[in-house]
Amino acid sequence: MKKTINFWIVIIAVVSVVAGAILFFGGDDKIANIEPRQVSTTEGVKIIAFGDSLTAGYGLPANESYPAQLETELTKRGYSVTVINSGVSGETTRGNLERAAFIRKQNPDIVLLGIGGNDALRLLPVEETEKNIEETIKILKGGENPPVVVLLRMQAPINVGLGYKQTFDSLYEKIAQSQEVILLPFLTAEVFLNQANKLSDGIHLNKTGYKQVVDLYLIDTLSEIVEKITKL
Amino acid sequence: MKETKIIFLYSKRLLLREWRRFVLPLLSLSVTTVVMVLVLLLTASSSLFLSEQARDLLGGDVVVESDVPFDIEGLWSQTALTPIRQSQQIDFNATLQSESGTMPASVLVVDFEYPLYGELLLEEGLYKQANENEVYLDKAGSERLSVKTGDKVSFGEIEYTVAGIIVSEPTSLFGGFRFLPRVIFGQSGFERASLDTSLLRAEYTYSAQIDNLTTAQKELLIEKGSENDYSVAIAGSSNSRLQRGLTQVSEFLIIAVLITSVLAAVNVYASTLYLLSVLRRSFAVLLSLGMKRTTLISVLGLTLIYVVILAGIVGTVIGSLLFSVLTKYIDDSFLISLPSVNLFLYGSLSILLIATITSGSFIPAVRNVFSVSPRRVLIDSETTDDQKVPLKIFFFNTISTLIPLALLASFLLKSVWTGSVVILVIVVVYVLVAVLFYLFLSFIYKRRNRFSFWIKSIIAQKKADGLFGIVSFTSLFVALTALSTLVLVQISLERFLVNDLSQTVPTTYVVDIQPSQKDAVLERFNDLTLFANIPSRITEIDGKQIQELLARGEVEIDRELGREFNLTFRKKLLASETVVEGEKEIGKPGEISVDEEFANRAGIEIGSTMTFLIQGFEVKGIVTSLRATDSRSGLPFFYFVLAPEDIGQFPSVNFGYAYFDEARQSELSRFLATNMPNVSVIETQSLGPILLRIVGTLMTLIFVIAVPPLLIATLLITTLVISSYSARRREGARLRALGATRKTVMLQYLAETITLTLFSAIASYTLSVLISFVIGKYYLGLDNSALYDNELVLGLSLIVGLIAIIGLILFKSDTMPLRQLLAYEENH
Repeated sequence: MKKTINFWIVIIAVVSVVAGAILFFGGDDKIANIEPRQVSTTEGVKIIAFGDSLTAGYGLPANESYPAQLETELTKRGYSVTVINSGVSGETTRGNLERAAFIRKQNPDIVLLGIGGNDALRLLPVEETEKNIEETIKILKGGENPPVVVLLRMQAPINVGLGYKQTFDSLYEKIAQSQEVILLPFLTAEVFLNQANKLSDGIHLNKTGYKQVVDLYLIDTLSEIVEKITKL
Repeated sequence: MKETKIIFLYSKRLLLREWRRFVLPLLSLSVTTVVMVLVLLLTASSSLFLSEQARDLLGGDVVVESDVPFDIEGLWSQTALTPIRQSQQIDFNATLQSESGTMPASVLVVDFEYPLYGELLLEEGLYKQANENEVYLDKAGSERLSVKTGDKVSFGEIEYTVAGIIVSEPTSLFGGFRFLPRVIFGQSGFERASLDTSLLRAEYTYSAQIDNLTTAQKELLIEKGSENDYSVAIAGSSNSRLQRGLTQVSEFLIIAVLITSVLAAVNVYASTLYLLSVLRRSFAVLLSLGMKRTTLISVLGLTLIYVVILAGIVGTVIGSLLFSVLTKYIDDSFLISLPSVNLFLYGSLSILLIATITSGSFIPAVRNVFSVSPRRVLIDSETTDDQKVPLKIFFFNTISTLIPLALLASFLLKSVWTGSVVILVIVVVYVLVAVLFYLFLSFIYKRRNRFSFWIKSIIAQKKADGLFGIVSFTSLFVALTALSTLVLVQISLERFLVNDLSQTVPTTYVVDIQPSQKDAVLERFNDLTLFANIPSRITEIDGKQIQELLARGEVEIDRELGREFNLTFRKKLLASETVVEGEKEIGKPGEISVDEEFANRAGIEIGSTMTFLIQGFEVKGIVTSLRATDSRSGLPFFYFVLAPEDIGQFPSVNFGYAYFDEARQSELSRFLATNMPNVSVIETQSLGPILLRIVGTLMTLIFVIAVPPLLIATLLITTLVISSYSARRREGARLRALGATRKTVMLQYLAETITLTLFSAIASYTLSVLISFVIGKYYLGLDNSALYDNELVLGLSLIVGLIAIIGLILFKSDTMPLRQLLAYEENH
């Protein structure tokens, strides 16, 4: 009996690890498929961080926001990049959708899309959020020579209700698959639950928090993407 | 006979035999005491009431907030404070469900002490703590979930019964705006939901009852709160609009008391001088009978003490009774329960003030008594000493009378310096007016031959009035100035409360209207005023690279400059804005208009260059104007206004406001909920009734406090006219003996009285405009002071008319035969 239980535990664990790996590293295919492109000789790879207050670096000087820290880290690694902070505090996905054409017009090479947090805080309908993010991605990926779009995964706070949280949190994976964009973790429990990573408002990250986000979730993948783009 | 016995005997005889002469001063002093008692009691009670209101609206004497759970006991120990009671609340957003729908809500978890102050009103009546199975919803919440009292709603997996519908929360005026409907849980109900509070994005609030906080304790609380990253609010110290309104009314009450005191002082002063002047002949008789002058002074002093004691008792009793009646009336009519105050303290204070001023007026009378020459007085040929040294006496009189006022002002203003300065200003005005009047009178007296007989005789009579004439005019002038000032300040405050505080606050704000949604919203709701918002960061001011310097940790650069700022573009100023420096027109290409306060903080001047970073694009401009913004108006407020040509091309969101009635408000909410769920509507409609009730309360208090001084001013003016007539009877009789008709004498008296009153009214109104402007601007902090009021001008005209009528009645009712008038025994 005991042996049978152990057997099933092992099977479940193996299946979970494989499934998790597929989900987590599912972006690898998308990265592998990235085509090299002509980048600006002056700006290098043009990355636009497009999002809300988490992108804007609410409550912090510009250099402490994640786009500024990402630019510093990529530069340290020897890549020629310009990371433009196009975050607007308080913006919902509807606002992002309205701005998408403006972002697209700037012909970025990469767009980091960190949106949806304010929809969750304001408990806006998840279907509306989903539709807005999908439309935004479509606009960003439209036209000639579209940028590489990287969707940053957000999470709803627990007090919005378990039902809402589950639906909202699963949204990003669903969109990443349907829109074929790279999905990266951003606001994870690991970073967010550490009080030392947050501002006193309990919502936004501080310099240390963004540093962790860049180090843990962004820098390696972005380096890889930049590498691919510049490999002409 | 022993001297003491003589003093008591003659003072009693003087009072009984000459009682008619004491009627007016007694009446005047009694009414003055009534008014002083009433005003002091009302002011003390109202101030207490206002501080209670401030506390109720804030939710505690001290309210501490933080975004993370914190140990409040740590703050109390750091500040050495021990609250009498305290209440904890947690505020966060969550989802609630009913059978018919799901609703995001703003949840408040409260303990058994909540609300510490104020009332939580429910449709069903009084609030009681929700038990573990109950929850309260506001009207918006109950409509969205389609539930009523007794129905079930669920929070997570747990079901609750709706225990009542919230009408208003005690702190709803200070609690800020909420996007979402309100839901209130008791602590036990919240615990049933088993939420991990450490994972909540919530606000944690502690309200505490702490009596008699000193300024030092308040400062320490703020300091320690700031050190711990808590937000600390103290009742009455907040700079919010309504708290400021409450403070302003309290300050107005002090002004009203001071003005009443000035009127009271002048009234007592005039009454005492009148009494001494009409008793002069009696002094002469007593002196001629061999009474010593010191004894005479004692007799006179004791007589005055009788009058003051009697007036004090009558005034305090009537004043206290009136206060009781008035507070009951206010309670019944306006539902304002004024708290009780110490009747004995304020009654004693009033009597003390009246007695001290009477003593002040009595001191110069002593000198007069010493100077009385019985022979001259009795044959009516005295040349009074006061005509020889009127200024010296006048100065002495004035200063000795105003010393008690300075003490009272120091007590009320809680500062000897401020109190003394306020009274010094009054003294200066009083003396200045007296000196100017004296010089003017002397000037025209020397040139009196150039005028007609009528005017010549008026000038001569005024000159002959000497000190009493000067005092009468100055008193009338001070009374009218005080009256006009009080009315103008009252009007300014009323305008602030009614217009500025309640009416300019929009009923509706809309947030997050996207460019593609703007036209559709405006097509349906064209009375919405929208403003574009474009977030940006300042990268450079006058060559200083702000973000770089901040990155390097330069301490001289304010960290606030590193944050995002909302820019807007337009070419017109809002009603709440004025350009205080630079170009009057805003919104020209390449130019930036900056909020004056922000400019001062950031070291920005006219001509400064600034660069903003908007989503990766740099926008440069030159600061060409500084704007002052009335942040209390409730209208949108922007630090930076640029030209549409410069930033109009950037994506923006719109923020707007409107003044809607309830029906239109609902229409907007429905439209946005259906078509634009991203747009938030913030309704202030529900705040309206509470705000109006509070403003109404304040207006009632102002009115109640302002009326007694008007009564005392009228009384003073009546006293002055009667005094003046009393002094004029003999001159009138002389003119009639020389052949003037009774009608001519009457007309001459009326012309003299009205001319002086009119002159005094115009001059006092002019001065009061200046004084009320200074008080409004620098003491009450009002932006717009009233400089003209139809009712005040009408009131002053009525006073002139009243004086004419009193004079006419006095003249007409005076039927004493000419022979008797000219006889020395009964000529007063």
